[in-house]
Amino acid sequence: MSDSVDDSERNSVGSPSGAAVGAAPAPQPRRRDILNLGIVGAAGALGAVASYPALVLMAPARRDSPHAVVDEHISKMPTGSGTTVMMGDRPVIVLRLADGSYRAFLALCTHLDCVVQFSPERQRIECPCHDGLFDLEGNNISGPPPRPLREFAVAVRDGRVEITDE
Amino acid sequence: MAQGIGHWAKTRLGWEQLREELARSVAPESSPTPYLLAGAVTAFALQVVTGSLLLLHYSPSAEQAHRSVGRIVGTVPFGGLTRGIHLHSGNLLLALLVLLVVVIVARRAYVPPRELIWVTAVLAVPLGATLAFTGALLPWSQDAYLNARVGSRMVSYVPLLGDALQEFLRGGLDVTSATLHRAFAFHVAILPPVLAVVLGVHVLALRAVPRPPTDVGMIPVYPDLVVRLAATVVAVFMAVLTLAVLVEPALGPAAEPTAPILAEQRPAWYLLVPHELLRVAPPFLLGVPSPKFIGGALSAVCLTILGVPLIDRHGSRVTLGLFTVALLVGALLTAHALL
Repeated sequence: MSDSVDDSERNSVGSPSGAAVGAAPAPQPRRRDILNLGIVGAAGALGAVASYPALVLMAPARRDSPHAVVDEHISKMPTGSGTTVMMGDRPVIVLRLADGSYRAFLALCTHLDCVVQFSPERQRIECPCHDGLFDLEGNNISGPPPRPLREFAVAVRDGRVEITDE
Repeated sequence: MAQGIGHWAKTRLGWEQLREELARSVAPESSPTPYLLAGAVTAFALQVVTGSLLLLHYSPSAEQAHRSVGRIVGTVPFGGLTRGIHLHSGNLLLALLVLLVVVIVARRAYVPPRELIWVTAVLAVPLGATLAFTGALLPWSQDAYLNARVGSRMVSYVPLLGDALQEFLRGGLDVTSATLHRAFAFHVAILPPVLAVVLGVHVLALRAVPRPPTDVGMIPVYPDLVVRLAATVVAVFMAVLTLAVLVEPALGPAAEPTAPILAEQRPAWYLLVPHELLRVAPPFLLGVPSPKFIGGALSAVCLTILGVPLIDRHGSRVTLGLFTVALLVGALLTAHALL
């Protein structure tokens, strides 16, 4: 390929005698540089065009997660106990306090999203990953968590407990 | 007959020319780099072979993953051994890659024109760690689920791109079956070829910038170095096999976000340094959320390490000193996390 370019270069620019070969090299690299630039540019453009659909394809599909949960066994929880239920893909911690009222929190630590759980012995919410502690109000009381747990509304209707994320 | 086939293949592959070429080239006798690389390549090859075998039985969905790994370990003939070799060779690969960087620092083999040797060796470490991390998610055990949560949340602290990156890695807003599937894709299809290319460029760069022949005692590549490398390959294989027979990696309970978590959660050995920093840090450092601060600081350290050939162009003793201190701090933090 490059040989044929050289030959055509010589034929068009050089004289029939070999004397011109010494003078000819100046324009030769130039034409080849332009060709190289064209090849690299075309390859780059092709890559750029091809990468757009690839990038768009990689984006995850959006799914609507449920925003409420009604669980039969929550209604039967004894006072001073806690449990974890799923609201779609999100774990929710439900507490029944000593006065019989309910509290519900997103069971994900505000530090790094680890799943927190209720400790009945110590009456608090604990994160097993980095030793974060929350009280029964969801307030961060010790360890690295920077914020209280996110709270969900709890409604009791006809003996059924409904937790909603509005 | 066999000899005839051997001769036929050798003449067509240019075997003799290759042998003569290798017999003419020399390598420094004292450098541990070729052996570390041979060990790493052996471990990587073991990963590819055992990984392909495991792939025949593994099912990458949140519902099936844990059960399928349980089947591999429990009922598939040699399944437990194959998984053991896969896990141990993965850990060994990562350890050898770390050691390779340490050796390059100790021998000051990062100064120009050896920038590419350095950059490829340094990049191979996080690649190996990400391969190990995504692999550890695949059984979708309780540990794996929490690691997936914490790991992807950590990424959300990357400036500007954080939230988008987290969603990209999770395959959605939450950690779900889609998260497992993305880890699977990265582990089996995307990252291994990337690591292979990085290691390939490393070898090319090593060949392109040989040490001056007067440097140290030199040996011919063929047969001396080749025989020693072959011995290294056998030794690594035997070590991994022995380890796999003696220590079968545990498979914890299946991921169940509502189930009680009994023990304190601790990540794999290569994550103990950030884990310990994250655990002991207060919620905010200098007014910044501590995960963001720690992530930023560690990223800055990693970028500085990557740029060492630009900063230290002559192999200063200071670099060696700083690396020693960094290794000691890492070892201390790891020990603290384990105790």
